[in-house]
Amino acid sequence: VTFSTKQFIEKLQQGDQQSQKLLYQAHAPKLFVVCKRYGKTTAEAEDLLQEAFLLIFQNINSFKHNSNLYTWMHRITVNSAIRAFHKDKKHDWAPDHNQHEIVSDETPLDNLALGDLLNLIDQLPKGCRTVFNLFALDGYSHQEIAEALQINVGTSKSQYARAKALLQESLKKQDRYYETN
Amino acid sequence: MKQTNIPDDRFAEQWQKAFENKTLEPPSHVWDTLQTELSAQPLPKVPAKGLILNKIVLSTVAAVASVGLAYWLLTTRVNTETMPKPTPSETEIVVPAQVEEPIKNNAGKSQKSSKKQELARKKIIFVMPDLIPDSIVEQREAKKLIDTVETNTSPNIQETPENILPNLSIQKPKQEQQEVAPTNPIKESEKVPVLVEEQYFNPNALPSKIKTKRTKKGKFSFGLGGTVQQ
Repeated sequence: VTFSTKQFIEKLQQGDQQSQKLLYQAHAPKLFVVCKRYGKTTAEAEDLLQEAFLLIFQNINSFKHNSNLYTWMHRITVNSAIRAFHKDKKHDWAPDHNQHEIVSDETPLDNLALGDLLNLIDQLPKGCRTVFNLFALDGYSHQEIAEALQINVGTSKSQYARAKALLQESLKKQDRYYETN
Repeated sequence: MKQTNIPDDRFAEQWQKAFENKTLEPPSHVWDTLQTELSAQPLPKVPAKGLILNKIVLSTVAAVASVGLAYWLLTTRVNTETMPKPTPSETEIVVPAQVEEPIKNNAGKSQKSSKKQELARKKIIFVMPDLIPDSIVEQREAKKLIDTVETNTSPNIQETPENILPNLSIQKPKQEQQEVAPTNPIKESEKVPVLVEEQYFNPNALPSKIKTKRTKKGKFSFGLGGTVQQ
């Protein structure tokens, strides 16, 4: 932790509004992407971001200087998303299909814009999407996902497999669409 | 279900890479609402360094004081333990004399009340000793002496010749000797009221007619509370 960062955090801990705005401006665009991945709609994502920042400012005193500030903020944002998942009683999970097309592992993700990536994730059922986000993008293990979402480890694994299959299928359809046009 | 042939970890890496450095500017109203909420809920302020130091000093002082108090309490406790404790005979004075008197009209009640008194006395004996100051003990000892004198001369105890002049041997009538002896087996139920009457009570206080009733297993109970095994 550099001296300036330490000073900045101390100001945040004292409730300095200027420092709060600076922190928001620096990290809100990144964290808003995280919120967009979890929220079905833009309004949901905005609510998540707002709640996450409120928690960040309220709990800044518990932040330890030996860890990365963004990692800590990211964790709080993901936890907010998990809480929102529990608030919503209706969770739709991806059903198992007996017939599924085998797809190639060559996925042209690098060429896709953020909007396209988010659209792909949005197509997943909510439960399935949450498991995918936690495992593939936020570094949770299946055990941790099971504990966080209060589901079985097997459910987490199967939902992730379903998400993977559905996403690859969507990508292939998108490729075909681009090829034909 | 047929699975895709890409490993989970590699798939995750691809997606992480795709989202790397991707940002999206949130709408401005998010910050405005956040500011309003922050002003509505004041954040917990961190106290200044001076206050923290004061707190540390105060907590240290409090800790030292509590340890000192605990030590003092322990030492004083030891001192009281080493002090000679009053004997049960001394503490018995605490119970008032009138409470100890059994109720003679009803045998069952007198037993119960005497048990209660015993318990009360025990309670006093176990609770009081350490707390009684010396002056009070002395006062009680003096009172005890007075009480013992009073109880020796009290009307409850029959004034037999032995009580008044214990060293003198007085020739008693034969009949009286037989009745007083507690080891005498009582065979004739008619003699029993007389025995009870003379041993414990004033014969003048006896009712003219003593009612007898049969209780469990061949016991006879008399109006004055005595029972006799048949």
